[in-house]
Amino acid sequence: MIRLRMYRYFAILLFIYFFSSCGNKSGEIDFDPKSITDPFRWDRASGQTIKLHLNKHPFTESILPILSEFTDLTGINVEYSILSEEEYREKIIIELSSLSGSVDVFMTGPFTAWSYVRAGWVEPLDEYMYNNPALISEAYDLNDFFPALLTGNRWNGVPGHQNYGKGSQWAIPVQVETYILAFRKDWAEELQLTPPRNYEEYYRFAKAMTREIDGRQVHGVTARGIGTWSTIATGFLTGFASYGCRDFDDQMNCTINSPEAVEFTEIWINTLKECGPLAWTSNSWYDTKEQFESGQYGMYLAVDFFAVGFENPEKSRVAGKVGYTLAPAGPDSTIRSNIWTWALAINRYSRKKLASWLFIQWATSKEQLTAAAIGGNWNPSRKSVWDDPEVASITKDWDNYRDVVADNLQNYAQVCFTPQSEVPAIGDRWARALQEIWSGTDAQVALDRAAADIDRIIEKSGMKSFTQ
Amino acid sequence: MKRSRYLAPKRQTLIWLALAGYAVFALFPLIWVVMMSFKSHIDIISPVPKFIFTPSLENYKAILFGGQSMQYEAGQTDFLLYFKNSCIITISAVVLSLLAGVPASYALARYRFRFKDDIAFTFLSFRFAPEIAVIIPIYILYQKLHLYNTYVGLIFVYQLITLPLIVWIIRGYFEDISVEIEQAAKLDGYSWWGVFTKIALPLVKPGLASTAVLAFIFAWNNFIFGLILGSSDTYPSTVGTLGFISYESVLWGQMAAATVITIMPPLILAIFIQKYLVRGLTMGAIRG
Repeated sequence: MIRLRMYRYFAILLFIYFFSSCGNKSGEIDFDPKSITDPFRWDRASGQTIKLHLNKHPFTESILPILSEFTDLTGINVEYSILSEEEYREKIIIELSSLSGSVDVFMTGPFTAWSYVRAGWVEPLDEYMYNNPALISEAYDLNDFFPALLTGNRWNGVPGHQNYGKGSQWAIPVQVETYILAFRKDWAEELQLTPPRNYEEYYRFAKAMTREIDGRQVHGVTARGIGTWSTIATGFLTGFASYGCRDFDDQMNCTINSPEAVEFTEIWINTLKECGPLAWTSNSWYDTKEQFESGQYGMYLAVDFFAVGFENPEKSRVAGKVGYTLAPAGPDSTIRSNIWTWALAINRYSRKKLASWLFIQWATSKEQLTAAAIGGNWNPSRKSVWDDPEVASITKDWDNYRDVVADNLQNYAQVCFTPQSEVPAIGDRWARALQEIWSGTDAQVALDRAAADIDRIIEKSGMKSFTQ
Repeated sequence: MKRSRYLAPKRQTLIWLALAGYAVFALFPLIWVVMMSFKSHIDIISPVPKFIFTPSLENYKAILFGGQSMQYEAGQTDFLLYFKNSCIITISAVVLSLLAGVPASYALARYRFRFKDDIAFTFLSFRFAPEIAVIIPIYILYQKLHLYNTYVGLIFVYQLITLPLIVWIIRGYFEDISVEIEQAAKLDGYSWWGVFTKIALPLVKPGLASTAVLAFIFAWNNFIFGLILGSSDTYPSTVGTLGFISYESVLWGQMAAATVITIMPPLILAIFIQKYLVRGLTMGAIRG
């Protein structure tokens, strides 16, 4: 009997502890930025502690040593957790979906934020950053960001490419990557080849570079090939969009099996089969980068800032031998480049939104992003950082890298996925179709099957009815 | 004709060759990781695998003392903290499991009481579902109970790994001890506690040691609990090792050095108690 009573007391104590701890949090989830009207001050949220969830990234590395400067300026304490990318993405979903506000500020970007936005996990930033002098410092120049990067982090939550860049601002970019063609300048000179301007030339260029040098086989091209959406998102999607193809039509029907899409996919896969790595289907981005750095590959349509690795003689055999050019154009001379930006966002369930916003504002200011770029955070998301003499001097020996990337950012770069919340699932299925084609399945058949599966994913997620 | 105990030299050589071949096959990944930990990045990514190279301690220096930061790719400097976390969490989890699990397994082996089999089955059921299936409710619970990112929380959740293992294996060992020995001890005047500590425990000592090592290895290698329920202060080395996957490259050399250091504690432990390990694992094999 006594034991039973003890159990009861224990259960009651546990119950009280559990529920008292639920309400034991300061701050409000429904913070209204417009409620603050007096002039801007950095110390407005002094004494609070915010939690950051960060991806292991040069931006993160550059910001960590100077977090104390932020605390000195604002009186806000910062705690953080850092994980490598894959684990980061898994954990942030658990943290956001718990709706516990355990994380205040996190890193995200266009495609990943789309699923968080649709789930209602992200705080819209419009009321903080646009037309609110009480919350934005005078020195913070919004027009200094490359416009495509702010646009890429905006969405109204309605699926469809016609909704790209509409709606609320969900995150502020701290870094950007676009996709350009890196090629072996020395091989091209030796073979008297000019960089490819379209995908026919791309194939011929790769073919010519695939040969034996001193008894060792070298390959004309490399690319990501693992069965996940990252294989789609980079070089492939850049070429796909340049070729005039789209992943969805206006009614969110999958169009990755349209005639032009099949044509482009065949060129892409054939080039890889004939001139690419033998184990292409297991090629992650680490492998591709290292393959190119090892000096065994002639060309790589990929992340622009991989140049940092290519041009580092301590770890690359191709330093000083690489040329850079825009991605090849499609049949009607169109060039598109997909973009990815790492950006900072606020958890909708954070109870420290004001402090979180002050952190984002500080971390994305000109000064901090300049310091971050000098510390290795490439490419900068602000024009003034790009033009900073010290930042500019970093790329001075990288052939024409700077001009090509600037040209790409200003004129050709935009998110080439259609805004919708299932990019990872759809991209994974699409990538598997590419692998099937590489293994011998007819391109039309493989893409038809993938398109049917993708239509089902869209239907199941409710996005189709949402557009109609 | 009586068959010789010894094999013919030719046959013996063949068996030796086969065993040596298997040893190379089994140990090669480990040897490769050890070699990688002494290589420079250029040697590691060399298109032709390099077996002869100039060894360097740079990777170990980088992970133990920090300061490594090739341009753009961040170096890891928190490895020692993660290693310490692994030691604290794993050792505490195993000790706690032994303290709670050994008496429990003795009770399950020796006494009759209500719901005995249900309780034993409940312990086993902790291992039915993969950890990922229960991690979100545990995460939410831990957030609310303030156990998230604490050693206590992680030691507690590691019981899901170590406790069922200890309870079920040790229970088998206790069942193998003849009841008559314990009854004789009781006749000599021992209390049940005396029987447990002076008779039963010494008899299952080899089994206890091997089970504790197995529990240690399982707990040491766990990844998902540390990842989801820990944070930068409490990540174990399994999560910390992934920190060498930087944004656009894997720091293979440092990752290999971290792996070599991480496998040391279970390896040393296994070598030291190898005698018990073999005896312990085969102890319950023959039932009288």
